[in-house]
Amino acid sequence: MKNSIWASAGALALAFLAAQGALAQDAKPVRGGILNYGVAGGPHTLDCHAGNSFAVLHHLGPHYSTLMKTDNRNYPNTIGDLAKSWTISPDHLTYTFKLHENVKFHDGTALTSEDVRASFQRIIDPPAGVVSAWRSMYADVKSVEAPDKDTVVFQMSAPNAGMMSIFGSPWACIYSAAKLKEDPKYPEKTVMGTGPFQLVEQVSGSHWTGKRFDGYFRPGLPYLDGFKAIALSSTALINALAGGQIDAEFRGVTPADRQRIQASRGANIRFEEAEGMGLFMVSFNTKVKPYDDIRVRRALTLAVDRWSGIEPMSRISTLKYVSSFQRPGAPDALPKAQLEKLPGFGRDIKAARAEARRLLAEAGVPNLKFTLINRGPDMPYAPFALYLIDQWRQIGVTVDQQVVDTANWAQRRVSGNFSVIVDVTGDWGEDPSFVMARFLSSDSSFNNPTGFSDPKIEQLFQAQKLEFDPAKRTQAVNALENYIVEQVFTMPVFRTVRLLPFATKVKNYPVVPVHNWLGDVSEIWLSP
Amino acid sequence: MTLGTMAASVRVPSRTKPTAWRKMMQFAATQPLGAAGLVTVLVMAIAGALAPYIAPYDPVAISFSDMLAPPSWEHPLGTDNFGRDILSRILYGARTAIVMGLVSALIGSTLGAILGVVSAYFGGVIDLLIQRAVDIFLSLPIIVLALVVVAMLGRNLVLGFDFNLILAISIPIVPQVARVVRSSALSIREMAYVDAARVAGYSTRRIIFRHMAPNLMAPYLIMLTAFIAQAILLEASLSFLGLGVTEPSPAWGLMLAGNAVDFYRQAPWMIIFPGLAISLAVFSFNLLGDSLRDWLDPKARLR
Repeated sequence: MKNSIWASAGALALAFLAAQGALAQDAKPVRGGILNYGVAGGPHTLDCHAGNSFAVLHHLGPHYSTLMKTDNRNYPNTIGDLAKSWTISPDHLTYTFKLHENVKFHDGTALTSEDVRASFQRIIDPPAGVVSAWRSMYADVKSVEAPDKDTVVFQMSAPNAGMMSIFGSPWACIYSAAKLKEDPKYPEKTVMGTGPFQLVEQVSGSHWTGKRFDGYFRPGLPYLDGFKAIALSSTALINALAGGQIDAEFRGVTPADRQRIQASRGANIRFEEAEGMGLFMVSFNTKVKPYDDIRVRRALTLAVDRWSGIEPMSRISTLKYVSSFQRPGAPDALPKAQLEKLPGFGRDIKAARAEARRLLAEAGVPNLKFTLINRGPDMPYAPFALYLIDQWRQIGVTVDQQVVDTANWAQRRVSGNFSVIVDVTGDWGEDPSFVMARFLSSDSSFNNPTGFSDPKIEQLFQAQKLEFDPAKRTQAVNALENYIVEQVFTMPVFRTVRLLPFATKVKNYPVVPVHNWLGDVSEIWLSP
Repeated sequence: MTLGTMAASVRVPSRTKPTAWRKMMQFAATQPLGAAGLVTVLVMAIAGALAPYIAPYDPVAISFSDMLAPPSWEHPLGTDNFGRDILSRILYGARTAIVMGLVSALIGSTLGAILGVVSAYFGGVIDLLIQRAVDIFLSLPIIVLALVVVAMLGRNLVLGFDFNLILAISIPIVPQVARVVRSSALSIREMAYVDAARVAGYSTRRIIFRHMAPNLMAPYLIMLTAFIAQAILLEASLSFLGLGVTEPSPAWGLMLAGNAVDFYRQAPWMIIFPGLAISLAVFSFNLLGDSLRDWLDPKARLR
């Protein structure tokens, strides 16, 4: 096996060290300049609390601050953004945050704890007409209080080991309490936060520009005078990178695009990569025969040779890692030895396929035929499905692929109008409490489309959520992941790579796996 | 000389109809380009039919060790990004192209011809209604109309072919054939033998199908061959746009889409050969259609 996750993890570690070295070399930041970057899509909302697409944060991110944030230099740790310090009660039921002083909104008003309280309250208990896409994540928060102007207190109804990561959600933008009082829907119309950049102009379908906010609370930042996010189609975006019209793109490009851009830009472009958060899977509708039979589901996962396929797949698609539900490099990922014992992750594909044939025959469907529902955009959905179809063909399973557009795919997925469907996750963070939450039984997780229910999954999930000792929590998470992989209602297969292109003048941007969070633009600088 | 011996010695010129073979020879002699088109089409159809026996590889089998291999003795037309043999995929793709093209054109042209002759025969309000409907359909570009139909109908696999896709390709053909056939049928309607059939009390159905329709065979055949080419192109376009045949089925249009867009610089054979296959098929059917028109048109023959 040329490219195991472990080899990849090693390479990543080296790349990370090299990147750290590069960052160290770029230790003398230069102020000034405008960063031009492309975004393949416009924001579907101007309200972070209602957003769930990368295009939202790739525009709004530079304008807002959050209470906590992911540390992109020490990923996936959580560090303070507006929070200067914090304490957690021994029973993990009270979180107290002290805020930075002298934080100002772009309209010049001072930020107080009331702004933080009102913003979280809006997510947890949105007023009528306000959409909160992230409400369920804060289900364990009983109340949010602002006892003085610099202090915010969260009281929990139950402990949650992932709570600090959840407080660092990039979607939890902090809005002005005074403005929310006037109009709870103001963030849908006005972009006004405490972030490093102020909005200058928004031209829908064309561009979005921001300028340095001189009142930003972190001294000396941002380095850039401003930024311009240019709305482009995926093809135009690659052309713009190849032609040097834009300096960066923060979602990721394909290996084929990389070759093309590199050929055009030569030494003027560099690429940085990280394990991505996009996990490509297959979900089975366990309410439909024969997928209610675990033998059939197990046979279908056993047939897929993940280890031999990933290296060539990485040359033609953005899929680069064999992965279970947790990212291979994540702190709580399954150890290699444990992973390889799980169905579909073994090294002996001959034996696995023999077992798969036996299981199908035993289940009475030796010549199984089905339609695989796949999502429209080509990369990496098309190569992923083709690979699976070829793998299943080798155990005598005939698969017809039906490609539908994204809206149709989402609708079919949610309504259960499928037998077998290509499924994907793209989480914004690493904590198992939200990475694994979508695999809870279908009656507890609206995001599990398979109709599978098993109380043991809930028990295992709760066990990891209540475990605060890191080593013991990892064990609990592994037990949960093990159990879910063995039930095969959703079979994880491959994970994406996040491959980012930067003009060589763009400095100081550590690449992390999360693609829908823009990262800290305030620290980027341009070499003259 | 007796009458009997006279009868034996006089050879009366034969009045029998020329055989199909003779007709084909005649066609080849007078329309050599059309004959070349016909031969190419026949070769493609036979290659498609015999694909399981003559294709060197399984067209859907992935072989990463052969990924993006250039043309060689092993893979005469190279391989794609999944290591699939392009020659095998083109041979199997001929089945998709010919079946989809032929069936779609047959359905579309036949329905169009029926609509055209009915419109011409009845005239009046029926003609008006049919022709205005035809006008509406003709105002829409053929690809747009097919896109709408395929998006609305979804998929319906019959014998491995998407019947709804066939319908989507057929529907834009209907109004075009209806308009042409109507114009020919209008003059046939005024012929004495149609009047005679009417006077003899034959049913409308009999008059249309037994007396008028056979005399419309020439324009029908010409339209049919022309629309086979158009249907092949339409199927390729829809597959290219992701609305036609889906992977891993081998189809020429599909071979130009998807990952071919990403890899054509590295592996130009991924798009050159399927593109050539589409062009050759369309060109051959067009040659055949044009020659058939000239051959069946008595005025053209006099020229």
